[in-house]
Amino acid sequence: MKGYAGKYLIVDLSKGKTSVGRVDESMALNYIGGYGFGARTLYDMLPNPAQVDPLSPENVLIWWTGPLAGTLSSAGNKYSVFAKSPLTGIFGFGISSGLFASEFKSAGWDGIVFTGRAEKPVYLMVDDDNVELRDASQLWGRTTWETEEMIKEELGDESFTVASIGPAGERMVKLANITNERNRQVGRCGLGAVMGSKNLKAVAIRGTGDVEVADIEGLVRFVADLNERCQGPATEKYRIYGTPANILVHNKLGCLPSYNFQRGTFEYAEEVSGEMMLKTHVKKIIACAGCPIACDHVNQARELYSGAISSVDYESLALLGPNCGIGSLDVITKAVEICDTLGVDTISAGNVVGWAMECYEKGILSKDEADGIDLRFGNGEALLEALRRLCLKEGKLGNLLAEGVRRASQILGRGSERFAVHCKGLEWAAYELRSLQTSTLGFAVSNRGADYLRSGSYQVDVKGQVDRLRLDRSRGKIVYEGENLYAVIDSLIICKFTRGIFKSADELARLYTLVTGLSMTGEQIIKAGERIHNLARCFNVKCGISRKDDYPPPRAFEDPLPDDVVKGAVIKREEYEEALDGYYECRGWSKDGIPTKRKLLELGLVKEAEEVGVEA
Amino acid sequence: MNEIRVEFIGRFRELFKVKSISFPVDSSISLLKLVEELGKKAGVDLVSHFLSPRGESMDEYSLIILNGNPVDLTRLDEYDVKPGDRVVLSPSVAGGG
Amino acid sequence: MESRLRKIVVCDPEKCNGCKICEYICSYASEGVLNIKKARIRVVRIEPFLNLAVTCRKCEDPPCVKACPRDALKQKSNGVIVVDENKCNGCGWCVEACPFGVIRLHLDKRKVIVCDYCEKQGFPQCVQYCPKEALNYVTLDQAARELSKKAVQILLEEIVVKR
Repeated sequence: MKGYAGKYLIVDLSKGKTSVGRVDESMALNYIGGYGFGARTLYDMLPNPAQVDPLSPENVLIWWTGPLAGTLSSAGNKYSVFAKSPLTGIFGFGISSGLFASEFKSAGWDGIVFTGRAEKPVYLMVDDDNVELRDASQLWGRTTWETEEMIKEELGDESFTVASIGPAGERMVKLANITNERNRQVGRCGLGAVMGSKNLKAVAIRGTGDVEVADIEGLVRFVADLNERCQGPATEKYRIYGTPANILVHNKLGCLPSYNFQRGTFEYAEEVSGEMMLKTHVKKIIACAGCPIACDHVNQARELYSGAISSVDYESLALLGPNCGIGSLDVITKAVEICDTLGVDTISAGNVVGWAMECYEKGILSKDEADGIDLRFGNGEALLEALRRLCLKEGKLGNLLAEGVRRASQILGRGSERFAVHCKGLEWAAYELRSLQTSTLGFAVSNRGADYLRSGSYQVDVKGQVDRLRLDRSRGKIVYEGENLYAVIDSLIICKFTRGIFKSADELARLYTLVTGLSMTGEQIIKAGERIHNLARCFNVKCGISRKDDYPPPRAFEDPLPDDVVKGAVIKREEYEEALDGYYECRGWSKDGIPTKRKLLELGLVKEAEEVGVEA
Repeated sequence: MNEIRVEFIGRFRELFKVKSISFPVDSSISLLKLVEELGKKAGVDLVSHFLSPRGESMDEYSLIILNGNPVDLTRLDEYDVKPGDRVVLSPSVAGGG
Repeated sequence: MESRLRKIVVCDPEKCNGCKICEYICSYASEGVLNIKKARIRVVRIEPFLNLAVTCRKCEDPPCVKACPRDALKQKSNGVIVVDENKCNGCGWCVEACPFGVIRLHLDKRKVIVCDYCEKQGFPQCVQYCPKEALNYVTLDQAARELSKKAVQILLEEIVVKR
């Protein structure tokens, strides 16, 4: 088979030894790559995940690309990282893009599995077949951007690409992420903390090999067609204003999270809109390797914090902006720069600081507990200082926030848990809870925790295809189909911004076959997506997940939205239960949200049927 | 009030050069007709932003919000816009997923 | 061919976003493989904002040809540099002589390679495949003319058109 390198690296950090594992055709056909491979290997390597402390040497840290990396496939250069998450205690994973994935494949590897813990800080250098764990003591303490420069200098070659953690990962901040090429992150689930717990500072890769594909001429022709489609209307929103275009759209719809999800509109939305950002702050729009779209908008701050430079997308903008009451693009640009360099996920950070601001304004968090910071909504300096402390785990505030919003609200108590906006411990992203109800269902059942990237279910809400202010039994099917398709996308791995240009799953299957030479139909590939989703759910079931965890937070049910445009919007419990029942029914799971033996056997998941499956 | 309030976001601001306008009407008008008339004002084929030549929804490209709710672009002729109503012409939502 | 008719590949820094699709296509066009390290055209990204693709510019009196101690390089009448692999011993003097860094040692062969303007295909494939039309295949006179036009349009639009 082509496309795949056919092998992966196994690195025992405790012993400082490396070995090689094989990727075979059966693995490829059943699990595709990326998310699928991650689910398979995480499930196999952690048979008793409930017993594993995510920050101990017993956790594993697994990196996978998919068959498309390095092959010129449109927007196909992505890699994914997996572990038991220290933030949520369940299936942890994230995807990042850029040149890194392409170099990974060119170096001759599909993935890397790290076990154990290094005695002292190290980084892994992969130079084609030559693999070495190198001393990282000079890098420890450095920002992600500094680390990349220093490694390139040390190795004497700028063509190395580097993925690293910042000081936040080193200190095992539960929101810590992994950064490559400055602007790209494996953001969620605290995977940077897992790296830090293993004393692993970075992975540096240089590849010089040809990436083989089955039908190179056919692939080049198909990609030319896809790239042409990517210049059309379906991707315009990414290319011009980028995802920040959402700010005004969401504001008009009353689904822009503001003031810790207390409201769905923001009075300064125009000042932090994508339109304003393009006019005053965007200095350049850049692309990941192999991408025909180019969505990465890089800002430079103008008056305040002048010189601050960062890549700002919708999520960072909304959660560090309106969600914290901030109406200044300069502050937001600086905030993102702090998070990206020190190594923390902007989504989780914006969410937990917003929560802390609400606590402070309600008098639940005292000024002393906020380290003397006047942590009110809209206070830009307070936001930046809170972020620095969170990233470096400094002070009472930093240590509290570094736990993530679920744990922080449990520690603080005093009723603050009621407005901690998360699901399964993963902070909710910038899609309103009550005015996009299909979206909320998708978030609440997602395998990582609060997350729309596994189903994209907000789309039907914003396209007027359903009543977004109500829920009913039929929404389950929408989430189910979205999840299966997205599991495929996250396994190939291809960028979701291409989803509007592929006409059907058959075209995804065609791309797969052109690259790998393995026969695949649209129906088979979606089945693989269903298998992958179920496998990740099985891992979560072993971690104790069931129906009780598949709910949005109390705010969704108890706090009706005050905004005129969606006045009184709230999730009705009976409607939610009905929608959740409908989802489990589509999934072929029990009423308690556990995959049935029958469904798992249907998907070929025999071991899982035995270990986890319940009777229908 | 004898007018419809029309607001613009994203590329529609560039087309119309303003953030919003008041569209005078005596009585109800279908949303499709409103879009056609607005198009004439700006000198563009505005309907083509919402419907392909074959009448398919361009919901990956654009969206229309009527009184705070997104509309089904394939049924523009079925929505009635009355004086006092609020219409927003917008690019579609561009999430990470 | 008269050298004033020579066309070269030029890259617009406003449109280039560093995607490297030209590099992948170049390795395919030149050697039938997907390997950006074998591309003749190279994208330079200087963080945080600068991106530009560079390749051979068909210099008048090319420094690479002059530098070669073994006369392994020749320039054809259409401006394309040709490498005689029997003579080239990979000393790399030409690599240092080129002010743009666009003649390089091949990864495996250890002899130099340089853009041949897709002689097999008849049209530079990088230009064909660039999704943003940042690359163009023009004479330098045409390039200059386009730049003047663009400058004048921006400068006068406000004064004349919008009056």
